Amino acid sequence: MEKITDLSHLSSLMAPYLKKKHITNNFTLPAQYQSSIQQDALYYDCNETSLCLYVDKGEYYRFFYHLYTLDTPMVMETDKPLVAEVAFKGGDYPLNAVLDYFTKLGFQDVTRRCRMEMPAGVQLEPIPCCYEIDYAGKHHVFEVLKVLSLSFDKITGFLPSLQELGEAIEEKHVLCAFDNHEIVGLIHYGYKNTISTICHVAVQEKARNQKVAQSLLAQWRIKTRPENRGFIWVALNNQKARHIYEKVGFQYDGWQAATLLFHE
Amino acid sequence: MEKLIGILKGIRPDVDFETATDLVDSGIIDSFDIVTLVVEMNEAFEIEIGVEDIIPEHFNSVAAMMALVDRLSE
Repeated sequence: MEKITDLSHLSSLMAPYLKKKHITNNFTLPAQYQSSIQQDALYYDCNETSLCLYVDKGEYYRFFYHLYTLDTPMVMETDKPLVAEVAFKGGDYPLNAVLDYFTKLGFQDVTRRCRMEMPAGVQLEPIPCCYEIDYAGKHHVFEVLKVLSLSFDKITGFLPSLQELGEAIEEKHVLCAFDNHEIVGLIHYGYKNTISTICHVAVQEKARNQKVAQSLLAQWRIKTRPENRGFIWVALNNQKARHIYEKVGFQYDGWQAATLLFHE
Repeated sequence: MEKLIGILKGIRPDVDFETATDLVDSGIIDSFDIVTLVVEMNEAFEIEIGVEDIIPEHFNSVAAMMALVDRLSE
């Protein structure tokens, strides 16, 4: 595994793979690569038939692959767990073949998620709940991470690092429901260009069934850009969450993703 | 240009690409669409769009995409 130090190096590695009929899970745009390069967090290895990219997330690597063929097995060597997401839309993607390939390499197929879209132009009114909704402050960073850790797996839940969370809070991308000064629910989101995607929604046990999630989602929509589309990924089997999202205006848009985990 | 519009319609049949001028900035196409588009354009126009060229300004309109194709075809 070797470090990528600039975008031109990455570009030369990827050029042979930006072609039809190769298999990838990589839909990353240059701004995200730049951020990883600046943090000394982007690595690769390659051979004649594959290019693998690794983004160091602290306890694990986000793993991206570009493959010419599923006939040649890769040799997996890593000092941390690898997490890959295989995103696909429609029935023509060779999902089962890809999953078979990675399962044989030792990956576990741990979660299936689907993407739901809030169509452009959908505006929401505030949905009242019995807690105050406001942005998280810098001093909330550890509490936010704790609430997220209670709801999401620390590796396959794609939890942000402390630094990433600090930046998200500074950019006002974390909205919280407060019971006095305690965070009982939160929504963490980001932007790709002008499209806002919700990364995490978490509501503490004691605040559930009180419209906290709906209230947070309405505030997210009001505070982001309702003239544009918005997205959220949700576990395919989480019917309760999917129902809540549908109630506020999200619709399943056909994209799904399998989360794969590898650790030696 | 017709070839490019054909590719775009194949990826997002619901969008009127001939008039749109802020496809990326307004969120009409996202990163999934852009990377799919790059692969299709590389093949159709026999060009190599590098990672550094995959920026919103180059994909906001059909005219911007054609300008990218023309530059990389030179």
